[in-house]
Amino acid sequence: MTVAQDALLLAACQALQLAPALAGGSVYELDDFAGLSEGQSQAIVISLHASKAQTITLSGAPVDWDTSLRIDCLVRNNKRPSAGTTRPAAALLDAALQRLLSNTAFTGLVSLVEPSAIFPDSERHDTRLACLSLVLACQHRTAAASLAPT
Amino acid sequence: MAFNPAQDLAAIYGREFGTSARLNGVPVAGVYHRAGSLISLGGVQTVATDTVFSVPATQAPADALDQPLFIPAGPWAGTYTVIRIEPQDQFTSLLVLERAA
Repeated sequence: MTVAQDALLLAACQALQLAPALAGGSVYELDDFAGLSEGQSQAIVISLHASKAQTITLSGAPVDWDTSLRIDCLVRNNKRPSAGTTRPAAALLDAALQRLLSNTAFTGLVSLVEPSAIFPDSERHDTRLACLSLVLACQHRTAAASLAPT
Repeated sequence: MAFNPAQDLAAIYGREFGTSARLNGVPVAGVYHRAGSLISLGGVQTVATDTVFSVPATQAPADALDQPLFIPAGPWAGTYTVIRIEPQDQFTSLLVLERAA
């Protein structure tokens, strides 16, 4: 059995883990993530943000979904490497977006995919910790009365 | 015998236990330690490490905030910035530090 939303999550995670893996291979689904450890400088955490079914007009017809994934890019020491350069969290987020939009195993599961929002968070500790979160909007279809992709 | 902060803190922060540093260029002796805590960053769990330099309260002026603290030697040698000052007790304060790049 395949659940479309779960398959999207898995495909996104696998795309980011393809060589050369982003964040040094520290790519996780949220439910598998134990937390960014002290020894990790970067990590990407992927989760299902929301999934909303479009109005069904015909009984027995396939269901179209607006599903959004959340891509959290966590970075320790989010300082610009040098003046005028991009902060590591922003660079990681950009790399993740490019990877997902160019990965056919992922894009093949959806009829439309586009970035819809970015949320920043950061805190000062012994280094500047930052999290840039991208919400990726996806449209896809499942069979009637099922979450199996069509 | 009553606690004498000037004498007793000098022993605690002396060579045996303390680390010599310069706070905005002014010599200061303190005790360095690091502590980890679990925080939520963007809704995701992250281990945050705080670097803390404990000093006699008289050596932690309020204007030390955002000032550089330089440790010249030892395992924690480097330049830091004071990002918070927290009272520890009546006689000592904690300088919470961020490492410079």
